[in-house]
Amino acid sequence: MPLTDSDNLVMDSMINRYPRPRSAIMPLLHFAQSKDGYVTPESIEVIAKKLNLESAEVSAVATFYTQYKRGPVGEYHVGVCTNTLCAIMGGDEIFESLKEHLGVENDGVTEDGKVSIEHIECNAACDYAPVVMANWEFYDNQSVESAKDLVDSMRQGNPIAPTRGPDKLPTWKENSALLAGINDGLANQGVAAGEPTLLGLKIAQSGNKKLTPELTKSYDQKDSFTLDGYRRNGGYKAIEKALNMSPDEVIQTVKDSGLRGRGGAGFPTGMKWGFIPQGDNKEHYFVVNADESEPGTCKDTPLMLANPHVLIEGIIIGSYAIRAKHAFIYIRGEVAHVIRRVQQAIEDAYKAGLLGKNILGKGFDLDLVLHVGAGAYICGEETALLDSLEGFRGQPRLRPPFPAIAGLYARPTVVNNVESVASVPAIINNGAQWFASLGTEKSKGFTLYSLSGHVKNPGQFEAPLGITLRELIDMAGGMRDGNKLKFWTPGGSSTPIFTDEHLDIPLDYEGVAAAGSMLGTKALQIFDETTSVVRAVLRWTEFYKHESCGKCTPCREGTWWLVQILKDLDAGKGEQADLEKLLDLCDNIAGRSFCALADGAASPIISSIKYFREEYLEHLRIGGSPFNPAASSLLTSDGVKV
Amino acid sequence: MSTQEIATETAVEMITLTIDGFEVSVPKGTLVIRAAEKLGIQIPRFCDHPLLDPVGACRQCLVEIEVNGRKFPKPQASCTIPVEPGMIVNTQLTSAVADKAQQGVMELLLINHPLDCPVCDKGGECPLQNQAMSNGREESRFEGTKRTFEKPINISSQVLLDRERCILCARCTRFSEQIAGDPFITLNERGALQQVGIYEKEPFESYFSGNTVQICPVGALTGASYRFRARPFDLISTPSACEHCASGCDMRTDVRRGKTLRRLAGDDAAVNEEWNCDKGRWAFKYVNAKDRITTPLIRDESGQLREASWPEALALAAKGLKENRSAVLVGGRATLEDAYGYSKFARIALNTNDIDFRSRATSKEEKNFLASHVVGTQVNYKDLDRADHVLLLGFEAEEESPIVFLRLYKQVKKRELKITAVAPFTSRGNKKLKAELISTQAGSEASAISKISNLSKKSVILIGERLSESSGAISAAVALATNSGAKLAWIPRRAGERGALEAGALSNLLPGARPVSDSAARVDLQAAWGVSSLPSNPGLDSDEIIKEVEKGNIGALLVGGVDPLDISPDYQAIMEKAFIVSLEIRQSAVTQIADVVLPVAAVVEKSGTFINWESRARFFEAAVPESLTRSDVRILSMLADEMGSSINLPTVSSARDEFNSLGTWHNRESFTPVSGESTKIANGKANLCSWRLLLDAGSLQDGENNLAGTAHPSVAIISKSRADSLGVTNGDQIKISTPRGEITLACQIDSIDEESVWVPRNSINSKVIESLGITSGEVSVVRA
Repeated sequence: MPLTDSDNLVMDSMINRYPRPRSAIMPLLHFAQSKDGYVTPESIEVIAKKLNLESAEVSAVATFYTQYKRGPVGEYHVGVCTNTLCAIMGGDEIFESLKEHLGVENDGVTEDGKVSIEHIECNAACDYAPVVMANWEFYDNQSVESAKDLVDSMRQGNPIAPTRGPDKLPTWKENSALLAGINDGLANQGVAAGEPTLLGLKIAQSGNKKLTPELTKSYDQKDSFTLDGYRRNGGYKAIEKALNMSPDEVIQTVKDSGLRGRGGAGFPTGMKWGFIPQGDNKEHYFVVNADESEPGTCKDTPLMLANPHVLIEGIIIGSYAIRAKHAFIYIRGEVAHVIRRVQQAIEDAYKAGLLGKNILGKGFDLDLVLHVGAGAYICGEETALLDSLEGFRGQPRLRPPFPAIAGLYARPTVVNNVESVASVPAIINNGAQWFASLGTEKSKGFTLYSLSGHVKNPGQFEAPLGITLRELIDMAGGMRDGNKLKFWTPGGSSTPIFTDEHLDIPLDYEGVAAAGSMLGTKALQIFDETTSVVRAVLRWTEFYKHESCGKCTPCREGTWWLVQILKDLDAGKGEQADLEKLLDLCDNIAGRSFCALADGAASPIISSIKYFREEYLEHLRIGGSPFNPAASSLLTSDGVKV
Repeated sequence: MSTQEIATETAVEMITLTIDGFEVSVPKGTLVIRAAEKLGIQIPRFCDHPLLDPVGACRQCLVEIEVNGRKFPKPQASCTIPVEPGMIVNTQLTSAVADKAQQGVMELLLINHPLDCPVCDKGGECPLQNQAMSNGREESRFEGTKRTFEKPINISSQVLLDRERCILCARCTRFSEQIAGDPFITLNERGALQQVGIYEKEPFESYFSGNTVQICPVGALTGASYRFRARPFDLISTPSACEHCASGCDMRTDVRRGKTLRRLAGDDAAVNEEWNCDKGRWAFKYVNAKDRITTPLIRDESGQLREASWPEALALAAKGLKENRSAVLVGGRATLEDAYGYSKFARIALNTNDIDFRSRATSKEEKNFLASHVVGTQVNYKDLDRADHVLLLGFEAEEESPIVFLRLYKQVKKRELKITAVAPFTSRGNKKLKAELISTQAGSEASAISKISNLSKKSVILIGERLSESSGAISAAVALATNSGAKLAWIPRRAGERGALEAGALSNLLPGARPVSDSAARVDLQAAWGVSSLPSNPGLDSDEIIKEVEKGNIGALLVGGVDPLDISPDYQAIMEKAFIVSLEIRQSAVTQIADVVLPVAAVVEKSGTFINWESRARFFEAAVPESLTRSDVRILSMLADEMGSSINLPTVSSARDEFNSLGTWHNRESFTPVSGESTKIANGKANLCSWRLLLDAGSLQDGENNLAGTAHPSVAIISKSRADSLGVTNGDQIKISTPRGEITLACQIDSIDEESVWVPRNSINSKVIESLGITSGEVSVVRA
């Protein structure tokens, strides 16, 4: 990477974004890709020198994240989602036909250097399945035909525009610069939200009282993502109120509201804030976990696309409450347009005096940095996220100490999910009582439910906690024609699956737990009876194997083994004893690993054998899968989306 | 902190808990896994290492834990959990859950581990093998495909990596980062493909890389020199001490059929903890060099050395030493016992104080300092652990005493210990120590030191042997220590120098810190030795001895392990005039000119004691006792008998016992400060500075090419302004010269003092004394 003076300045400015230089390693690697198209050895050396590190340390980080490439990719890099939901809905067919069409294998580049292709994991757009990404821009609801048209248009030098993105598809290098934090000015292009994102809002607007759009209420306005749009809808009123309260009063209000973490674990948000030691003369940090990657989960991504300012307002309030002067949004790197919108929103907020020094003249200072990930599910685990944000490999840390005591840079830190933080302005505006009056006894307030898969109309539904899947499927127009619900995840692939027995359990923390699963991210992936549960579970297991960070034995080795056994079972190879072995193996993995990733890997296996043992045995009896993948696909035999 | 470390601190709070039904009390902060060890309960583990931060990665040590009546819902990694009062721990011995969890983890560790134990170096001493037997299932249920890698890969010329054997415990990467400060090996990739690796263009050239081989709990990291050489059960292990420097590492030497096959770091919490440097680990092949001397040699009429019998050689040596005024040059590598032999031999057999162990640049100021402030004193590693500030003078810790470096680095990492270095630039080692630099030209140290004022009683001043090269510098350091109350310690480079000082192998000192000038001390020693008199006139230093040889006043030299090129390029030619009796293990510059050569034992072949810089005795037994060679002291004793002036030291142990019985004298020579002069360099010239690198052309490193491959390349360090004025950039060749000769090296631009140029003192293409005739001072630097 030969560096010009201006490159050097840009790199220095990236380093200056952070309290400690090493944190800049990820944007610098993205920047290197914007220069060379991939991470060259030279750029590793340049970055090492800039950050006063050994090259080995930079290389260790670069090889951890899948978005950093070791060799040239195409001018247009196409990722086909083949995680369970997209794969089953047609992603597998799209990927196979694209490889054939382009004449390349996975990770291959066409001879003209225009197009490269890889299969990717869940990209947080499940309600738009099957999804294809190009240079990390969304191409929703794809079919074999549309995907072929897309790559053809790329090779002709005139790529079809993304469905939710800028008017023209930027090149790989251009978007790498975006990921490095260089604003390309395209944030205002494209839609605020696609149809599935608006589904719940429209149903609510048509008079359905079961839904309570608050975060999503302005999604249907063209400029909902702009500062003006947000203000028009009452935005940035909450900070005025909050900054007139004492920080402790803000914490108390959030405590009183009963808000619990929306990222999966459901820990009370106000209590988490209250853990931050006060008067300790240390820097405090407020970190937003926007690394939405749990398969099936697609709520934060459309939120940040359509309404980034509500997140920023929540961050200002939260930072004020915990006395933090530095806040970070750790966003996954595979959602270019969302990154653009959030980046623009931050810049606009700075310009409006909502961030920076002496916010609203109240003497409160806050710097907010958008930190872009690079493809690692594990960075959604809060301590792995912090290590990643500090510029290390994103591997979970030992706890204790917990982040509230020693988080980012070993300082007291709050890590909150996007939706949790975004819920705060409404709580401040309307009062804790208002929020607490929604939901159920121990699960207060409203939340985002994402419905995807074999329903007629997948999409986002904002409703009080405790709604049932039966109600949600009704709103989604029911199951796709003539088919029955077979199994579903209540909160992403890491939560044990449910079946049609569980249609009426209240979707709140307690209701789902009582039925043997977890509310998780409220990512409701719906599969009908055409779907092979063994295939679904195999694909999820492959995901966990791919995303295992490698730190601990049970997860690293266990997922390697689980995939091999499940592949055999899916192919009808093995015997009944293998099921017992599989369960025993899950027992040796779940609860034995360093973090919860491996628990998540075991969940679908254990729960699917619990409910569908016969189906596994049927595979063994007939020596293969009794299912026709085409039947569960949304695509017709011609590859057209129905 | 290890249990041991915690326990040695005073007034620790003790915590009582129950493990497998047994109560045990351990210091607060102890990890459960180590509390269990105290009861003799071995919980299996891989990633855990008492000197590395807990990581909890391998999950092999899972146990069940209950605190305050509440049981953790999942088994916990006992290597990460500190004990708590009343904690109840159930290990695999009493908990079926823990036992199954451990067996489960072990099975997982083995699914991708190859079954190549029969050809693996670790087989027979492998923690994975052993613990798979003790805590694993009888049979694996894995029927799938194992992960494979290309094998092995050289991550340096000395260390090989077999990735498929690696269980990713990260001990090696954590050691490199936490202990050595050399994160040249890292974990790369992720998930099932995670692997240890280097950056493709930068090999694992850490001075401490061998420790990773030693702590690897499987056969993933191996040393090129030992790979496929032996099975552990064929080896005979002997505790030993390292002969390479004054750090004083405890070692283990493994021998098969009389041949040393490997050396390992020994455990000594007070000194090297469990580490050593690569030189100590791998530089031992010199013992088996082709030029090893095995029989006495005498120079015949034709001027050639020929083999001789011991009686013939001893008779000739005795005659030559008796007939001439004789002096003794000991060299810095003698054991305490051997040095004592030389010291006593000089006084009794030769009736002289003309003896010097310093075969290097020296000064009278240094000699005075050693006799007044060093001999008989103790400063130790613990003082470094507790210091508030450590000052490095004429001393590059990582290059010249690597375990001192590790200890400093530990404290820098743990509590940001303040380090200050007086040097011409900040070396890599000092960068790692975050040392503050007082940029100083060679020769101007005295004035730089005299300006230092921020030391306290808790500070430690470490003086390297090179400080003697700068007039007045030692005096300034002594004044600084006196004024501040800081501790003062002298760290020579060679392993034998401190012992030789204590043994009185110096012209102003008799054994046991007895000043030659102190008549009471002499009388005391006369009584102990049973002699009627001892020479009382002050003896000559090595430089003066050579001068007297040149003048013809000294006619014979007894020389033990000295390379005259360590002092001056002229000395070999001058020494040739004298009758020389050389005690040597290999052919050398001295044996080339010697009249009698008497073969002596190398360290692994003898027992003895090194006194490290702390003044701590490091006793060792012979690792190859069947060797026919003998320690110097025994030969000196025979020679003295032959001369008719017995020193009565027929064995190493008799020498040690006698030395120990002498005790330490109470009075010291007084110190006379010397004033410093600042360096003046003519316009257009440069001021040379140099020190030896840890891995260089030293003769004890001979024969180990794998190790030599990891030595730092020889470069000349110059300032940016000099580079600009010479019109050179990094990597261009420059020539450094004096009237005597020149050195040509690639240059490296660094923030070095403007007038200075640095070159390695004794590396390939950079033999400073031989080529330039000086160790510091004025040189010309031009573009080559």
